Amino acid sequence: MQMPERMSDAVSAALAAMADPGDRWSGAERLAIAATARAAFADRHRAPWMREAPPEGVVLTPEVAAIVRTLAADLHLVDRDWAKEAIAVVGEVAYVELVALVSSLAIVDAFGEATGDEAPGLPAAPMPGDPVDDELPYDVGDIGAYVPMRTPWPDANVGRALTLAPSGNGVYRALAMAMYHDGEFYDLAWNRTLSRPQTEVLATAVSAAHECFY
Amino acid sequence: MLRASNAETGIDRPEHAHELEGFAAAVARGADDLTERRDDLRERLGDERFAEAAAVTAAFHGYVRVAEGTGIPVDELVVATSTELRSELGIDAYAGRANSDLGISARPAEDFTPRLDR
Repeated sequence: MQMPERMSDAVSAALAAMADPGDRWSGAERLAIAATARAAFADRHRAPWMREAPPEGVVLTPEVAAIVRTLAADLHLVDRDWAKEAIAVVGEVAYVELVALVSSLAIVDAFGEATGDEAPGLPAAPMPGDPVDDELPYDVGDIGAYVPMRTPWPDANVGRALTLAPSGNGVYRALAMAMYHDGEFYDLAWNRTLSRPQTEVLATAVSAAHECFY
Repeated sequence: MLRASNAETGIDRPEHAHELEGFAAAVARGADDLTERRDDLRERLGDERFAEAAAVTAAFHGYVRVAEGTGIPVDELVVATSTELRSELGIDAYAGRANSDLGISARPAEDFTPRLDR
């Protein structure tokens, strides 16, 4: 089906960015994370022993691939202890970037499932270059989450959840915003194509299905 | 946000709420009747509105991963204004509860910054 332009532009940009070097992962690693996440997400409703073997030829270690698969397909297994172990494997910034990439892919692929259309493919090849590894242009601190995030922060916590990894955060937020509120989050009475209450019915149903406390 | 937008608009039950809810849950759960629900919703809404519904449904597959993956605490405003609702709906039984301080006493939304209606 025809996707509205703001959404198709955001999806294209997010997929293209998967091939770029990021905060801690190279373009090749990010594409491997995306391929692994895509395969796991597609299999998420099957019992673990019924799932397809992980995609071949990826450059991730088995430990990293396992973290990606859990975030994509077995979110109910994620808690503070699990996250602590995952962060011990990859480091805090790389973990946050990984969450951003897996979450972005989940949006792209869930849209395909929702419409019944095939999701667009990943870029064929990574862009060259090293991860950025810049100093953050803002302060981060412990707010009681699994990872540090930007502080102080005037808005909802979900808006700062990925701020430890700016490039991953940028990819994710642009995509999520285009698909959800299109910059009108604080307008509780918008009456666009879908009304705000209709939009929030959908949001609530997905959150409840995942038992997401936030 | 559903509660807040309902309060703001005065709409208790949005049009097609049942079909929207069933569709989004079917995507999230990989339900066998997803195709029927999709076709039904698309017919009711038309292509443009259906695309928006699919997009919001998709977006929240990302939001839940960000929230659970990073363990963000629920914002104080939500904690303080949702005590009864969380209890009523059984949401306090979700594992993610452990990430939030629920000891915040109940207060009206107007006491918080940022306000949702700014």
